[in-house]
Amino acid sequence: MSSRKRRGNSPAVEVYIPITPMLDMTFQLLFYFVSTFNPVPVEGQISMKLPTENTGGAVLNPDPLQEKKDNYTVVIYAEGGDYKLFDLKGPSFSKESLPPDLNRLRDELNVITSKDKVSMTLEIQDNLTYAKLIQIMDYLRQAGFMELGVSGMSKER
Amino acid sequence: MSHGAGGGGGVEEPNLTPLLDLVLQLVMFFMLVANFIQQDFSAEIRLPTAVSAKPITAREPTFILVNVTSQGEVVLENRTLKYEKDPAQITTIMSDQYKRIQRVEGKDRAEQATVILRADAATSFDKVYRVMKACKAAGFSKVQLRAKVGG
Repeated sequence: MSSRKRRGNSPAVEVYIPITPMLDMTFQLLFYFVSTFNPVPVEGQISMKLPTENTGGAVLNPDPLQEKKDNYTVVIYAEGGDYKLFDLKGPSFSKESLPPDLNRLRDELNVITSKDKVSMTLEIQDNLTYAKLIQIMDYLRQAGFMELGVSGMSKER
Repeated sequence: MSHGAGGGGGVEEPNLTPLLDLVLQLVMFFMLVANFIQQDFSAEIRLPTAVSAKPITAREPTFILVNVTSQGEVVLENRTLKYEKDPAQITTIMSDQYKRIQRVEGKDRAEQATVILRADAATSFDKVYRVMKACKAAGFSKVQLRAKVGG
């Protein structure tokens, strides 16, 4: 890079700004940031309402109109971080010791036709992993049960 | 920068200015992104995947980000809290946060404030649930569970 300045009769002076070291440094910085760049995966959200004193469990997608809904409970027993057994309890039916098969659980729950009028509480044993909890919630949401809640397992069990 | 042309025997120099501009923009982009990750997310957390998780379109107006590691440590505002050491500490800090939102942004905003919970896939439920209970005890009523979007 050069620029010419001429004042009066003084001879032309060429000014050089060496940009090569700056470019070298910039490339080094670029290399550093590119090599340490770890893109964040696209995250999604599952919104819930935190437990109230009365229910003791968190409620998913609470209905703003506070419509009275049938409450079903899925008790999830865990072993080694994974689900082991399911119990189903509701106003119209109750089943115990279902095998750890989410398709079977969905089939049992398919007797509920008006899924939008149902709130479901997942009563979960302490050692179930967060990944398995999200898997079960994800499965139930895909099956149409959008109002889900979580709570710890009651001491009687 | 001079450009020799024709057969005048001038010195040929490549025009590096656009290249330098581009490289500086790239450096700036990576610096900003790196800073963003450092502020909000704990790198230790491996989120589980959920198909039904809704992609985040807009950030909540008022939120507090809480990370829970697989060991049950709570990472909150660049502080790592160990529940076993002081079980009441999380509730105390969350309560302070709730009061700060109430004071700065008003009561309505505090009631609508969301706790964004990012827990590691291997974290056991009791460690996540005790954070939920601490948030509730502090006064928060809304929580978002975070998961990776995908199949």
